[in-house]
Amino acid sequence: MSPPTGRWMAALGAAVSICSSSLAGQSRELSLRVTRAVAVLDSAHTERGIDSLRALLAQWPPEGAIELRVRANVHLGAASLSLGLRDSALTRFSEAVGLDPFATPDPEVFSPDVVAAFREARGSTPSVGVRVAADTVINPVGEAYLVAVAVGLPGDVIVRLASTDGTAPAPGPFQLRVDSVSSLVLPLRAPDSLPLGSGDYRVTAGMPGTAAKTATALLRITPQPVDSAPHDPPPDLAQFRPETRPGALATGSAIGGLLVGLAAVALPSLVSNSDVSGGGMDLRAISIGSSIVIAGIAGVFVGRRPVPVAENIEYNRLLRTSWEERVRRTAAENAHRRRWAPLRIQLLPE
Amino acid sequence: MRRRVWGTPALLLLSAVPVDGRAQSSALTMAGVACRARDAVVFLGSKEATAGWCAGALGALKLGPLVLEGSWFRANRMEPTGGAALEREAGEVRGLLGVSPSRWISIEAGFAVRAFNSDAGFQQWQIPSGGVKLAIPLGDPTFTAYVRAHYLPPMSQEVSAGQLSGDARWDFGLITETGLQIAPRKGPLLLGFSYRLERYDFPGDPLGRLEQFDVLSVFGGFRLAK
Repeated sequence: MSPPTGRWMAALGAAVSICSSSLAGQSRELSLRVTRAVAVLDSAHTERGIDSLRALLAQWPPEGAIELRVRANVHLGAASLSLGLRDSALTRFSEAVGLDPFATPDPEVFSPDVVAAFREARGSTPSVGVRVAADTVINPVGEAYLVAVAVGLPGDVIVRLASTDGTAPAPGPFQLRVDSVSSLVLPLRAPDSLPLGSGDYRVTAGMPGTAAKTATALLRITPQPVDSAPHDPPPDLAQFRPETRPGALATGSAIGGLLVGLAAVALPSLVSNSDVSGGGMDLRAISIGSSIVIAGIAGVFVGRRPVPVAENIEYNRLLRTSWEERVRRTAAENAHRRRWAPLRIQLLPE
Repeated sequence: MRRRVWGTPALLLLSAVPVDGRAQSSALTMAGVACRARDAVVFLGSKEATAGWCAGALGALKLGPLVLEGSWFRANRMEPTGGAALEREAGEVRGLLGVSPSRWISIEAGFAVRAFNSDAGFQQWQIPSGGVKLAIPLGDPTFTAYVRAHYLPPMSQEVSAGQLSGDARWDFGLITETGLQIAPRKGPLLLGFSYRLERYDFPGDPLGRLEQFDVLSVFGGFRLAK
């Protein structure tokens, strides 16, 4: 009895669909609740807003959006600071930095005190994060890939790029000193200077010796198609010159045929005893001898050897080699174009 | 005893032949043969002659300068063509070893066994020989004409009593052979023809016995060369 595959697949599809719509709904709900709480804070009901945000963060689902959680922490920290709860505010700011080292309060929205307190919390939170363009195309010959690195606690960051299956060679690692946010120009070339091959790669940024969690970004690199140059057609046959000319007649063949033919007739006559053979002409010997003479005459023409014409042979050789050279050059150019094709780099969801 | 001794100087002669590098090729030849054989004897003033169609095969193996040839034929019926000859059967097996110091020339030693059978009895000839073969390409390797001449050292032949040949030992013997081989450059085809004449003079007082044997052959087969 075979399993009802169709029904199972349909059920699985329905479950995935329900899950994704459920996650989207949850995200909308969280966003709404954060916005409402921030609105309560803005309407001078600070304590109520703080309570709402605390309750919200306390029950924050693991799959909830990081950006919303960071936003909620920043607003909660700012509100706490406004009530003089500095330690609580620093804790919230620290949590926001831990979640996203790129996070920073907008100076046009928050007061300089909040910005200063956030900076203080940031400087003491070991955290590291990377950001890359979501989808871009770069030319590996003259361009490089830009990776933004942010840290909480200033320090040395080690950035690595490696293929996810560990087989393709990749550049690096790179070390850079980061105080808050910095950018790294990542050459998309392997150690042998060739462009990276297609495949999935992972960018990792870590701060060895600290409690900062290693940040990662998953990339897919795909060479873009390029136009290749067409090959030259081979030289037309009419361009080639004849490499031989008819040689002299093989007159030696006629002489050889004549000599052997005569021998074929004469030898039996000389060797045979006339008492036995009767002394007449040996027709067998004559027929053999005349056949050999005829073959010798045929050999005069059949054995005519063509004579090579060195000048024409050299001319044809140059014609061929120059065409082969052009084909080789085009092939090399096409290989170069394919090798250095622009690379499309897409950020994949982790 | 004598037939053992004669081959020794021939082998010494073969081993002393200088070898030309151009002759260092290999070839295998196999062919079928159709032939017309004649045998004529004059003894005590009377002549007997027989002739008949024959068929056989030949093969040759060339390994560098060495050439090994073999041939065989059989004539089921050799009919009288003169005198009081009896109808007879004939057959022959021939082997030949040669050394080619150049592509033109081979120095050869051979041995043949030929037998006749008639109402008068059975006789077998054992025929050693040594000589030279000249092969001349006629303008192109496709056509090769050749001439062969062999000396036949004296050899006793033991035959049935009552036959015309009797017990005999020739004191002079020669073989000449001429022929043409046609081997097109493309493909292994081999065609050709040849004519061989053998003369045997037996001593006698006052009249000896004279015997001649000749074969006109046409052959076709293949030749694989490297």
